[in-house]
This record gives sequence, structure tokens and C-alpha cells, in this order.
Amino acid sequence: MKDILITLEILVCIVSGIFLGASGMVSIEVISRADSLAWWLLELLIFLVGIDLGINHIWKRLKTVGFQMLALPIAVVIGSFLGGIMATLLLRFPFMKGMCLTGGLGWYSLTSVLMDKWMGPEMGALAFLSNVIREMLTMLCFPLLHRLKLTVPGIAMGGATTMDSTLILINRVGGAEYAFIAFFQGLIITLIVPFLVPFLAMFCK
Amino acid sequence: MTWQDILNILILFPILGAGLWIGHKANPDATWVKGSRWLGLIGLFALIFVLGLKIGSSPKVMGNLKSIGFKGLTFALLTTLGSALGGYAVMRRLPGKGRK
Repeated sequence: MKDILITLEILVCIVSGIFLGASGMVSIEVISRADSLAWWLLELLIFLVGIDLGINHIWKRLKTVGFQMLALPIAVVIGSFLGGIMATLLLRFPFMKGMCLTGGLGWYSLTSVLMDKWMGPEMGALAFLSNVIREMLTMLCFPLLHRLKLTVPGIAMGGATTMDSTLILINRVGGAEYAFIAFFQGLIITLIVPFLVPFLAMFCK
Repeated sequence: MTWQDILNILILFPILGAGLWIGHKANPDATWVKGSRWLGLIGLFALIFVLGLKIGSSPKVMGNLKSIGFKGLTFALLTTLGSALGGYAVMRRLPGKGRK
């Protein structure tokens, strides 16, 4: 319930921001400063993500789980990109921009700020939407997939979000052992995304 | 992407590293740790609000909202489906409960 509430709060934040921006009540001067404010907030969030990972002693955990566990995040990244390729073909979308969107793997706050900064607000909005919908789909589908004994595919859907926003739901529905698999997947993907998106963006015109 | 953009991204890694180091040394039950989680949530809401503000103030985005929504949904559905199929392909290789 707590996770659904957070998703709803996020939707309220974006919708109220859009309404305020569209209403014209905010001066152009303030909006022009939004870029640097967004970047400053992103730096703060990255720092706090680091603290969270440090508290969980990730290096010790990485040593104990072994290489078998890496199979899941690798499969998630490959599967996502195959889906992303299909989406670019279906929508006739510029290929590398599509790959950048896919490279977010559910981390909407980072991807949308980077895409907004480098490719404009339209791509920023698209990055936000595609990654937020992914989180919502995970929250909606995970309980059903767990019931169908497809818990791991349910975790895989979440991408980077399984380290934080969807983890509580996975822990509650699937139990602690699945929560660990989910956390590990989210952790590896969270470490990959800050490299992956800028790398892919270098190939965008 | 300019050199300034690359520099901006490179700055994020020492920031993440500093957080990792501080978190590693911290007592998980300390009051400031709980406070940092709240700050993270408030920071996330503020960031999302600012993004919304930028989206709303761009006539180009607002004029294409329907198309952006459709593209966003298509990307989300196909990438999520791809990941789920990837998870299905490897689920028997995972240690412990993943074998189920």
C-alpha cells in the first residue's frame, strides 16, 4: 500500500508541476532556473542513493552471492534492449534515442533529467513517462505473477526500481529470499545506468 | 552531448562514491540515516515537480502530449515485457528460491 501511495504522490507531483507550468503563473525567469535546480536535486539524490547502498554493505553482499546471481540483471538489460529495439521499429523512432530511453531501465529521475538536459523537454517527458509506467506495471503485475509462480520474471520487470520503490512490495508479497534477489538486481542495474545512458547519448545526433 | 555534459556526468561518480563511503561507515540506526531517507523522498518529489514544471511550460511538449504518452506507453510495455522474458529465461539458473 505504501508503494502505491508513493507512486500516486509522484503522479500528483508531476501533474501539479505540469499544470503550474502550463498555467503561465510561473515566470520565465524561474523556469529558466529549473534546469540547474533539477541538476542540483539529482546530485543530492545520487548522494543519498550512495548512502543507502553503503549502509547495506553492498561490497560484502556482492562477494557472497556469486556470479550466478549476475545472470538476472544481465538478462534484464538484454531483454529490455530487445524490447526497446522492437519499440523503436514499431514507432519508427530514432534508434539511438530509443536506446537511451531503454537504458534508463526504470530509473526515471536520472534518465529524465539527463534526456531533458541533452535532448530537450520532449525527450525528458518521454523518458519520465516510459520509466514511470514501467514501475507502475511492476507494482500491478508482481502479485499476479507471484501467484502464477513467475516471481523472477515479476522481479525482472522492475529493472532498477527493485532496489527501492518496488522492493517493499516484492518483500511483502514474495518474501525475504525473493527480496534479496530483487535488491541485488536493482543494485547492479543502479550501478550500470549512470554509465549506460551517457554512453548511449554520445551516439545521438 | 558536449564536454561540459560529460564533465557534469563524471561529477556524479565521486558524489555516488562519497555517499557509499559515508553509508559504509554509518550506523544504520542513527537518526540522520532515517532523516536522509526522508530527505531522499522529499528531494525526489521536488525533482519530479520541477520536471513537471518544465514539461508544462514547453508548448512543444504540451502540444504533443498525446503522442508522447503513446510512445512512452509503447516503450514501457515492450521493455518491461523484454525484461520479464529475460527473467523467465534465467530463473532456473538462480540460486535458492529462484529455481521455483
